[in-house]
Amino acid sequence: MLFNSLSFLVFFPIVVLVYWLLPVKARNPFLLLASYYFYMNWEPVYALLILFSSVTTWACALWISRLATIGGGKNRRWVIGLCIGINLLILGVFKYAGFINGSIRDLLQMLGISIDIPDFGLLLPVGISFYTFQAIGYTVDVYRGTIRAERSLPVYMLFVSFFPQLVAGPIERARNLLPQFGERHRFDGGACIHGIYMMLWGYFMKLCIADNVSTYVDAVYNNLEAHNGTSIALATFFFTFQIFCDFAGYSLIAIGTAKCVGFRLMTNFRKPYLSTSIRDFWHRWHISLTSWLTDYVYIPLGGSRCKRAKHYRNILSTFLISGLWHGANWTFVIWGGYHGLLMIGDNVAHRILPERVVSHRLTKMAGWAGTFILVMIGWVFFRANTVSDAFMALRKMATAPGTLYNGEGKPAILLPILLIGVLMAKEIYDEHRSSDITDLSGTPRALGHTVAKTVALSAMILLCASFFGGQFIYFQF
Amino acid sequence: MKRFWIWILASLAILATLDALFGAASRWYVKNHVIPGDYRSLDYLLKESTDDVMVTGSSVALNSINTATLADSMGTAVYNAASNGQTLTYQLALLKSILKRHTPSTVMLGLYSADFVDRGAGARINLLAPYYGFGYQAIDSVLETAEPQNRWALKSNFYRLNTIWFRILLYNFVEPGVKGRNGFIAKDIPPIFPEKMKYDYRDLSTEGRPWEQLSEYIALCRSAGVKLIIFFPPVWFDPAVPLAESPVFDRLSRLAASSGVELWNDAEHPRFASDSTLFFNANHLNYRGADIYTSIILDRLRDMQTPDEQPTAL
Repeated sequence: MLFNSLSFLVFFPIVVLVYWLLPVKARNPFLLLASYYFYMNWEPVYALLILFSSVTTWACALWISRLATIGGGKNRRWVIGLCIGINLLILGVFKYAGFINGSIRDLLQMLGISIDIPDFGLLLPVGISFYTFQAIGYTVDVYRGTIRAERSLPVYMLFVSFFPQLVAGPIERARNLLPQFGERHRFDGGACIHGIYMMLWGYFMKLCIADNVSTYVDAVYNNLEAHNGTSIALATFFFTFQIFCDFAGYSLIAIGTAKCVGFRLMTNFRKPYLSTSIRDFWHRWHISLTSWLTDYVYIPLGGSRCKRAKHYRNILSTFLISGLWHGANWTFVIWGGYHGLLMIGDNVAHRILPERVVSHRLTKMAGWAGTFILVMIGWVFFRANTVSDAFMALRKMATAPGTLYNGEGKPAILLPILLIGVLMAKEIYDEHRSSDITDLSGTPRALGHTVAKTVALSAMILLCASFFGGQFIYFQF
Repeated sequence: MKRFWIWILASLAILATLDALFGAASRWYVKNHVIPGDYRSLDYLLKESTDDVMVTGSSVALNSINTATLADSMGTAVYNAASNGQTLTYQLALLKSILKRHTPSTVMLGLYSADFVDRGAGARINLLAPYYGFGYQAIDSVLETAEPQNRWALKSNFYRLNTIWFRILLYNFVEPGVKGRNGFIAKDIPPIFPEKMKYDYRDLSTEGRPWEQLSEYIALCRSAGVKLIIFFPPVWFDPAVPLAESPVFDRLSRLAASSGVELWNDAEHPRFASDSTLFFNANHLNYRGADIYTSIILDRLRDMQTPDEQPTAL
């Protein structure tokens, strides 16, 4: 079920209403049912994968926990290895089998060997990368002893399949989300208002910006041969905001939805396009994945507490994995590697430049512009259909200016630019004030402000949204 | 809890009030002004037109026939009422609405391959939205049936004019294209002439919604006493089989013959078949191509006119 579908508009209020009307004991089972219903709306049979992933990680975690009490250290390592192996195998088969097959086929063809490798043609289960990583993270945490193994299978199944964040994150940590299923939630009107307000912002980002620019981006990027550098540059600029608004929009809707049923999900985006360095960007972009990779890949590899060459290797490896996580295509691997190299460059720059230069206002402004452009260049690899397409796009942007492709007409170009302006103005405003999005102090004046903002946002969505947009991009990851 | 309900009710009440105010303002504007840009033709057709000959269709027809030349040469009022990206759904609603006020003697309906692809009832018809609720039953019914949720969603003026308000606002300052007289819009000479587009007319269906709408269109013209000409303007295609040999054209020929409709197939007209400099892209003629095609059309129309209908030389 898509957040931007009519069925979700019916599903959401029913779930919220029934959830709060039910006795406390019945709420978690109800959420579990609702979550599986939410997922099965897409492809019922793939719910079995979540079930399998949930049961294996739950059982392994309990096993690890039991082994810890009887001192079976070596066996614990085997069990965690087995658990991670099973989950990565599922991910590998469903997400990467086609990519690996294709790469082997291409390599053999380059060597002049022609072998017919069967293509399984498996449909990629929606959100598989998200719930697999969430489940692996939980098992590793139990192994490390940072959390206790969850004894209740239904509660653990709900942790893995909790519908707001099931298909596109945030990738929640067990220590944040799991205890909340044991809490006694009481309806909080302020939190619910805040949740709905966040959802409205999410819809604004998705429907008004991401979906409005997608037609232009697709028209250009799916036919790069026919377009000049100017049109490709505009399409890249649009994609820069499409990917942000699509994914951050989803995250906001997810966090807001969870808030309405009393749950707190982690922040996933923190004004990433106001970053003044690449390091800063990765502290603000897809925070749940970045922190996951830091905790479960980068630090186990040795992190930064090692020799410089090894430190840089760790950065590069982590970003290459991040690229591969995003998609089974060499374009994503290159995108990951590109950001890894930028991160290394950022590290070098921070080491060489004196602190007073780094923190100078002008350096920060130049850093913001430079970071935005470098991130935008990276998105070329992310969006291009093939690696050669990506290089063609970069070459044309540098060498082949021309008349701008008009797409669906001037209004279809200017309206998204105007809305991007609105979004960035809000981001800058929020960056320079410390308070939360909505003032929920309960005074009539604060309530009046909240009502005004809600009305303005709703009217903007009705007036500017593209109601014929498609899926969220991150569903495919 | 109390605060939550106050917030919900206050938000909904204010939103509904603003929506109603916006709707009233937009209705006043549509009623009392000529809407600019893409809407100018439609506005003219619904409110003022008394033209004798009406050219209609999508951009393929819009960019192909220079109606100013036709009008000057034939000495009769001709208007190009075609509109970018519009399907037979739109054409049918437009004709029904126009016929309520004025009956042209001839309608020239320009078609091309995409018109036979069913893109759903509501594909690209938002051009009609500003005229919803103005008494044009055909327009109202098309908009209401376009999407299942539309019947109630159209009650919201914000939703009804979604993105349209911006187009109208913007077109007060910029023009959507090089506007000619009598509704014709010319396409420029492109910097690079197009490559032929591979196409297989055999993929087009001879059943479904577009055919039902075309049959209704023909019947409507017949009952109103309007002479209908269906034409296929030149395209820069590399077809697997010529249009004339396709099942779609075969069915259309039979339909035209049985209902007295004139059918002109110029998709592979020899004058255009090997000259890419007459095209803007694979589907559209540029203004040079349009001039040549208009002269071809003009000759045919003259041949059709009875001697007393032809203008006398000064």
